[in-house]
Amino acid sequence: MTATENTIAGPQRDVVGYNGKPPKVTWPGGARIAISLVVNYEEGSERAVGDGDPTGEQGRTPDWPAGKRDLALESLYEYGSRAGFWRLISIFDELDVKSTFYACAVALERNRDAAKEIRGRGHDVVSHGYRWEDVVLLGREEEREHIRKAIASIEETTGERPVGWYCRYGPSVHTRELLVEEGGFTYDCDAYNDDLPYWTTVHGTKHLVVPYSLAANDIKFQSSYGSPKDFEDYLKSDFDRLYKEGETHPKMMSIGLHMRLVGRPGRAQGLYNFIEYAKSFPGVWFATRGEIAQHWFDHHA
Amino acid sequence: MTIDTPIPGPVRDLVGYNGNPPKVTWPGNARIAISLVVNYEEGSELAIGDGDPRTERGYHEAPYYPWPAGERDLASESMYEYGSRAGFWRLMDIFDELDVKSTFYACAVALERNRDAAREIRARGHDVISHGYRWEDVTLLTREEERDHIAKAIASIEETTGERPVGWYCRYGPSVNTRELVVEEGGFTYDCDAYNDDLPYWTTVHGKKHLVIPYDIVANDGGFAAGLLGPPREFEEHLRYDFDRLYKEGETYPKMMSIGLHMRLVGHPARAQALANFIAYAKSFPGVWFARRGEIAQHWYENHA
Repeated sequence: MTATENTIAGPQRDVVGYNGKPPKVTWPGGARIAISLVVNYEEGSERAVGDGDPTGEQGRTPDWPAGKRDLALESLYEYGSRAGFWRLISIFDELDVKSTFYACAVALERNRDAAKEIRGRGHDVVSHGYRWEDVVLLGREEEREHIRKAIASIEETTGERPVGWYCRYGPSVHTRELLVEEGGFTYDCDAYNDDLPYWTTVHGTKHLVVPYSLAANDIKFQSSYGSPKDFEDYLKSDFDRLYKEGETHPKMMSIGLHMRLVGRPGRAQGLYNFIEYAKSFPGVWFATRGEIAQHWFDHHA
Repeated sequence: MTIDTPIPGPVRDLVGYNGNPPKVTWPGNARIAISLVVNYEEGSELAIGDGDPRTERGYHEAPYYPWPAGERDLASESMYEYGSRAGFWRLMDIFDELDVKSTFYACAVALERNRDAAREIRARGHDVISHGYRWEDVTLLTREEERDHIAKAIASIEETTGERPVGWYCRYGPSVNTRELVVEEGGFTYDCDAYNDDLPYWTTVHGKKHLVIPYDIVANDGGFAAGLLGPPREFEEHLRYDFDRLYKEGETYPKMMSIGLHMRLVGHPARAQALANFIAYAKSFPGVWFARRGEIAQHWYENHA
């Protein structure tokens, strides 16, 4: 069985990548590791009966009657934008680190002061969709339209259009082509397959992918993490190994955060402990994804 | 009702060594044999691009996120790619750093798709046994198909790694035909399609003596995908506790400890660090043998035939 030629829609699979020989990266300031804190700003744009969706997000039981509002779940989401957001923003200020917001356009429209604060406090904004939605369920034309609407909306709520994109969970077979076609994106993050950015080609156009992580991610508070320390431990262990590898081959570490999850006080404390720990070492760069992309364009084009 | 009525597949054995396992003396008088096992699957899992009806969407960081049937799940594909692109090299580096050897349960097609990595496995001193032609559920194959897949796997692994495999391990579990086919083929020394003991044991297949070296899906990083293991520390603790108990038993009755690893799971830095911590811990004791399964098989043929 030979390697699959790309006879199907969507990106060609690449199970080889850098083939054990990643580029020798020198992050700005000689840093040994680039840490990309990522805050997913979704709350207010999730599936909701009040927005005309047949059902809300998965809440109490899988067989929750269609059309019946789950007010408890709506409220749990609201925690994110009402309380979690401000807690995380304060922690980042306190520890003087910058992050990237994967922001759903409609969510920002519904919390305009918060939206202004993001760039106001020096954080980056990448589009996380028009709404927090499964783009695989849109047709190609509808997806193109949603990209256009997301760009316009985020430009309006944050002052600048987004130059990065990340879908909810995963892209459709059209997403990357549409982003490259649109012409104004520098990179996308719809990949989980490496510890460094990499170039790809879309119909002859060079395009940057900055991978993300569902492993170093607070979503595990919804499955296997009990104590806030579990997430803190994961991050510290991740850092320890990457920092060691960074002696010779610096890499990047993405950390996925959700305001309604890690924004809870106890879990935020765990995140705080980790950031403090990482900052205690020399050569640690808390980077926005835009900065990482810029570095890649400048040094690894 | 007895369990003596013949049905296809191996006869069940609930008794095993009956509380009297052989007194094992591992090479160098080791009190414990630790078999690190790396499952090399990525690139051979179900994929739309390979003509399968669906993407493999389990056994990774976000299993079975709702997705339309028949659509490529690019997130799942990408999470698998992490294993062969990044996780593999990290594990190889850690094994080099700590100077330990492992056994790769390699799916033939996965190695075909990452040839430099395939060559590195034996080059760095690790063992390779077959984990199937693709990472597939062999119970879905007919006997003829399964025989054919075994033959293809052997030929492929010989081509990508330089030697044919002499061990076999299915995805999760064998069919009722697997062991017979493996013995019939004639070139296998053992299979690992068992979870039922802490030591290798002999069985008989149509009168022929055949070695089984049990594996372990409990001391296994699969727990990270199943939501059973939380932070990396929990895996490290499981391994340490396993080791502590087996090392103690090894004072008089040495056993073996299998550790199941997946490049897309433990290959992430946080978990790889925990694995490295465990290996360093085990190595700090005298009488600890990090063995390839081929070596364990060899020892059994020579000392417990």
